[in-house]
This record gives sequence, structure tokens and C-alpha cells, in this order.
Amino acid sequence: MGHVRLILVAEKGTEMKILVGVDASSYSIAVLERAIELARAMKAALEVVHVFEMPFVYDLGAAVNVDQMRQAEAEAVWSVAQPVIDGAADLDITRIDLTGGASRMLVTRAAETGVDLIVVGNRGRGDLASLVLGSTSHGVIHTAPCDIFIVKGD
Amino acid sequence: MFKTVVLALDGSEHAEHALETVAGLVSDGSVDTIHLLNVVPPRASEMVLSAESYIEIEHAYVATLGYETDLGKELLARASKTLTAAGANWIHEHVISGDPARKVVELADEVGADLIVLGRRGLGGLTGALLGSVTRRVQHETSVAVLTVA
Ligand SMILES: Nc1ncnc2c1ncn2[C@@H]1O[C@H](COP(=O)(O)OP(=O)(O)O)[C@@H](O)[C@H]1O
Ligand SMILES: [Mg+2]
Repeated sequence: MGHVRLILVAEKGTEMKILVGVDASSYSIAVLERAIELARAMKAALEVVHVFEMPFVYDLGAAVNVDQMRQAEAEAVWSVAQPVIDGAADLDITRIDLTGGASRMLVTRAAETGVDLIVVGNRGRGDLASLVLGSTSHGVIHTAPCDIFIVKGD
Repeated sequence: MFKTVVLALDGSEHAEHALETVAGLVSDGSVDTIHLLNVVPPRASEMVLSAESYIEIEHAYVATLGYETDLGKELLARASKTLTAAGANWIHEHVISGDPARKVVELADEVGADLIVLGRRGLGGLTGALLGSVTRRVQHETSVAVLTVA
């Protein structure tokens, strides 16, 4: 968690950055709340990121409107997350929507914006409930070079 | 924010960074109790190679274990000082022999930890992988939140 920066932050005023990934699962609330607590403790700016993962569309001629799906999913995510964000008015929080593979987009975004810490849940909406780590958290821990906080659900 | 934190230290640079991060959280008043853990892994294969008899192996084992346990105690005593300086009130030191990943997971369960903090790499680091083997296994085996520090 920006160990060096954490110590220098007071003197140099370098702002720490935390990125938290959220999906439409209700469990994302706990993940977001934890990220908010960490942002407070570290006096960090927070980026709340949702990644829309492109569905596998076999028949492009079918009446599948990807933009509509993206829109619907974003609404589902932010209707859950926004009230939590509103409860942390003391923090510098940005909301971001991306499209692509979740772990890849989170890690890329983190690298681009110089994030110190990525916060994700151990599992989201994937089906394999028996796994301790979901595919996104697994991808993040294996590819992100920065600090990582994995929040565990039950 | 965290009642009970398990901080696993192996003397590596990343583990040192993990300690600094926990010290930062302590000075923010975000941590109550800290359990420091150093695990002394068995080095049986090395001993078998260099020893001529079973008794020799056992002697070597006891000697190395004693030596490495002392190193572990020193390591944790130093970490304790850093954390005390940051304002920590409750620090427990554990030097345990066994399989590092399993011991981290077990201790976290035993003390009811709500956070495990690890370096993202340790002393191994020969494989070029981003994640150390202990860290990877703990990530997969614990039901406790994990913070890995780079
Ligand atoms: N023997 C050990 N005792 C306590 N903690 C350990 C031990 N080995 C590893 N760790 C913890 O796990 C982190 C990652 O180390 P590890 O996974 O062993 O990486 P590597 O494969 O590079 O040695 C360390 O920074 C430390 O926090
Ligand atoms: Mg190691």
C-alpha cells in the first residue's frame, strides 16, 4: 500500500490512489465499504470501477443489443453502489465504466492512473461458488504489480 | 478498521514493506491487535543430501531449527519495535516450524483474524513470477481478507 508513499504523504502531499472493482452482486457493497474505509485511513482518492464484460454473442444477427445490456448492467451496478458512494462525501471518489475482461481492465486502468492499491472481492457473480477466489480476483493477484486487498465474502 | 491482523514476515524486502504498511495503519488507529508470524520451513532434503546417517540428519535438523528459530525471533522482535513506535498496543510474536502457507492460514483461523498481510514476494523469487508461492497459496486457502504488499 504505497509503503514509501504512505510515510511520505504528509510531507510531500503526494496523493495516494485506490481503485476498487465493483459488479452488480450485493456483495460489492461490502467491498466498496472496505475500500472507502481504506481510502479514509490512507487519505487516498478512490476510483470506483465497473467493467462490463462483453457477452459471448454467437449470432450477431439475433436481437441482442449489447449497448442495451451494457446500459442495463451499469444501472444495476450503480443503483447499488451510488448510495454507498454518497455516504462518503468527505472523500474524493470517481466513478468509471469500462468494457472488456474484468481483471485485465482493472489492472490496466490501475497502471495507467498510477494506483497504489487495488481492492476487489474474492468472488463476484461467477457460478463456481466453491472456489475461494473468483476469476477476477485471481487474475488481479496474478497480474497487478501494486498492492492488492482481497475482501472475502461468505 | 481491523481487530486482529496476522502479519507474516520472512525477512524479505516485500515483507518489510508489508510491515511498513501495517505500521501506517496502526498509526492511523486502524488496527487493534497484531500477530507477527515467522515460519521456519523444514529443510529435510538439504540435510539428507549432506548427511551420512539418520542420526546425523536429526542432529542437523535440530541445530538448523534452533538457529533459524533464533533468527525468526530476532526478526519479529525488530518488527515489534517498529510497530510499538507506530503506537501498537497488542503485539504477539509467533515463531513456528512447518509449512509456511499452512501455518499462516491456521494462525489466522486460531486467532480469528480479520486481515492477513503478506509481501507479494518473499525470499524465493527465482521463478520470476509476480506472486510468491506462499502468498499464492494463502490467497487460495484462507477465508480471511488478504492484503499483499509490493
Ligand atoms: N517462512 C515464512 N514465514 C513467514 N512469512 C512468510 C514465510 N515465507 C513467506 N512468507 C510471507 O509470504 C510473502 C511471500 O513470500 P513467498 O510466497 O514465499 O514468495 P517467494 O516465492 O518469492 O519466496 C512474504 O513476503 C511473507 O510475507
Ligand atoms: Mg518464500
